[in-house]
This record gives sequence, C-alpha cells and structure tokens, in this order.
Amino acid sequence: MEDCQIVDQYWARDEKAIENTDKKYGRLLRSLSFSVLSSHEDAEECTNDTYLEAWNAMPDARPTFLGAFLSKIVRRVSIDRYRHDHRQKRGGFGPDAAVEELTECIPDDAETPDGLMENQRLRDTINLFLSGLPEDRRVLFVNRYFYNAPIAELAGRSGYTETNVKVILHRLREQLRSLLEKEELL
Amino acid sequence: MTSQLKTRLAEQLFDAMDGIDDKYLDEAARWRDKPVVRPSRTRKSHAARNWLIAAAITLVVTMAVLPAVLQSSVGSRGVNAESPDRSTLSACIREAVSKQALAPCTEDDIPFADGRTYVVVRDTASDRLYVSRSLSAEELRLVTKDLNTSSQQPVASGTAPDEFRIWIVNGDGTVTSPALKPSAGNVDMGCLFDYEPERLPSDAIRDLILRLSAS
Repeated sequence: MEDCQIVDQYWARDEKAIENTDKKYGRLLRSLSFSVLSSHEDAEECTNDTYLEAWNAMPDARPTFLGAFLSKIVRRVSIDRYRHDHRQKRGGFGPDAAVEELTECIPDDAETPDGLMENQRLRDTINLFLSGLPEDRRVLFVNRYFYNAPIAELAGRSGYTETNVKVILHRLREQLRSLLEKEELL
Repeated sequence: MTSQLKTRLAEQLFDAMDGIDDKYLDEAARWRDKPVVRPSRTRKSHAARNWLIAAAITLVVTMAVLPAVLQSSVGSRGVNAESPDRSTLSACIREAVSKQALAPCTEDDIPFADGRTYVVVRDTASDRLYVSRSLSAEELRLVTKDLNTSSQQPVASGTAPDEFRIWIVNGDGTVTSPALKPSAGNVDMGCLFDYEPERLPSDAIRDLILRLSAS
C-alpha cells in the first residue's frame, strides 16, 4: 500500500491505518527501537507508542515520507525510554557506541553558552553537511547515526570492509566537526 | 572541557539527528533495502579466482566420479539411482522432513526465546510447519557462514524456491530468514513473518539441513 493511502486512512480516522502501518513499517520500527533499547518487549511498546503518536499527529501532519516520519518518532520515544531507564544506572546514555563516536565531532576546547549548542542551527548545520556529501557517503552517515545501524551491516551492504567503513565514518565526523566550528556552534 | 560535557554535547548532536531531512532518511532506508552490490574490482578478482576454483573442482570431481560412472555403465546400476536428490535446498528439506529431522509443529510450539537456535520451515503447498532440534555450535557456524556469504547470492525476487519458506529462530526472540537480505528491516520478533524471497540461501544452509538429516 502506498504511503499516501495510509496517510489518507489516518486523516479519515480509519483504524486500518495502524494495521497497514504495522504491515509496511512494523519491522523497520521495531528494529530501530531494538537497536536503541536491546529489549524486544520495550521495542514493541515503543512501536505501539509510535502508532499512537502518529494517530494523534495526523491530522494536521501529512508526511510525504511516512517511513521517515515514523522513524523519527520511534527513535525519539526509544531514546527517551533508554534515558529514563539507564541514566541513573550507567551515568551515560545510549546507544553508547554511536554517541562515543560523535564525541570526535566535539573539539576539546569547545565553547558553548550553557554547555549546549543552539538546537535549530545544529539541525540546519547537519542538513547542510549532508547536502554536500555524495550519496554513498550520506547513506552511511545517516544509517549509522540516525538508524543506529551496526558497522558490520553497513560493511555488508556497501561492499566495503568494516575497517573501510570505520575510516569513512571517521573522516565524515571530522568534516562535520570542521563545519560545526565554522558555523560557530562550538 | 570535561569528558562529561563532551559526552553531553555528543548526546545533543546525536539527538539533533532527529532533524535530518525526511528525504535523506528515506534515501538511507531505501539504500538498506537495495540488493547488495560488490565493488567491481573485487568482483573481477573474485570472478577470476572463482573460475580457477571451479576449474580445479571440476577436474577433481571428474577424476573421482569417472570410475564410478564407468562401473555403473557396465552393470552395477541401482546404487546411484536410489541415492536421494540433494542438489537443491528444497530437495534437502524434503529429505529432512521425511527423516523427521524437521519435525511437524505448530507456531505455538516454537520456542522463540529459549536461548537456543532452531531452523523452521513451512511447506507452502500444505502450509505445514516443521522445526529442527536446537542447533549445535558447529551448525550455528553454518548459519553465520550463510550470513557472511549473503552478499554473493542472487538477490532478484523470484529466484528463490517457492516450495518452502525458511526461518532461523535465534533464541533471543528474533527471527530471520536466509532467503532474505540481512538487514535490520528483515528481522522480526516472536513470529514467523511471511515474506517474498529476496535471495537464494547459500550452500551453507543446504549443508546445515543435510547435517540435520544425518544426525
């Protein structure tokens, strides 16, 4: 079923919208959530929460890319859940590997007011960074840092070795760091 | 700058990935669903190497089989005629089912999360399900081998046999299939999801079924 037909069902308050969403995107959403939470039960709950949020968001929202729209929701819901469950226990937040890699984008002498970057400008800068990348690099970056895909999977899909993928991602992080500094976010 | 603050900023950066334009998210998700493409340089060198290996294997097999063929042609027919067909995965599965190495079951019988790994197949004609015993470490190695060689398998739809559907139940609730390209989107939990075959399972899976039949 096409995305626009499912979105029409949401707008018509037809409960089949959720059934059809689950058929088309259920596995992607559970898998994204599982990559953050490492728990099938929690991933299932977060996926259901995502359907509820999508139900409440439409109307007014009319997403062109329904998969991307739902992925953003499930990622946020799952990260919130992870933080809630783990921050006190572990003193950090996950998915730890991806965040640890991203610390390379933060210079040691970074200066930020209130210890945070300006959110909207940060998002704009990430999109600016992505727009300047060739597609084969962009898909690696987005899959790693949005979809939380394992390096081994990226290597398998791209035909590169795992070492190659790590080197490519390292260079991309360096480029992002330069851009963040140039845009005076850090 | 303290490492704590650095981690906090990295977390903020990770969070901000939520602001990635939908078209880039869609592009990345589609990329994960595309057939695997190997770099041409690798493909070329692999092709040459594979040709040499195939030639060597053909030579060895011919030398090994020729006496038997000659013998059978002079009157000792029957032995080869009765040996089961193991040329395809479907044939191997049929043999495993007939030997009850794959036992009849219902979906409720399948232990999705008991910490052990099982092979489950469904006969698409009769809709019957069959499950293997739990796999040994050596048999698990064959599953991993199939995953590692997956990018070399044909990926066009319709190329895989339709006679059976096959799943690997991983013991942690996750379910995958050697007939699907390995990707996060091709993993489900606690159920035997229906699918359209995307690739031919490698010979490692056929070897696994043969091992199950033999045990």
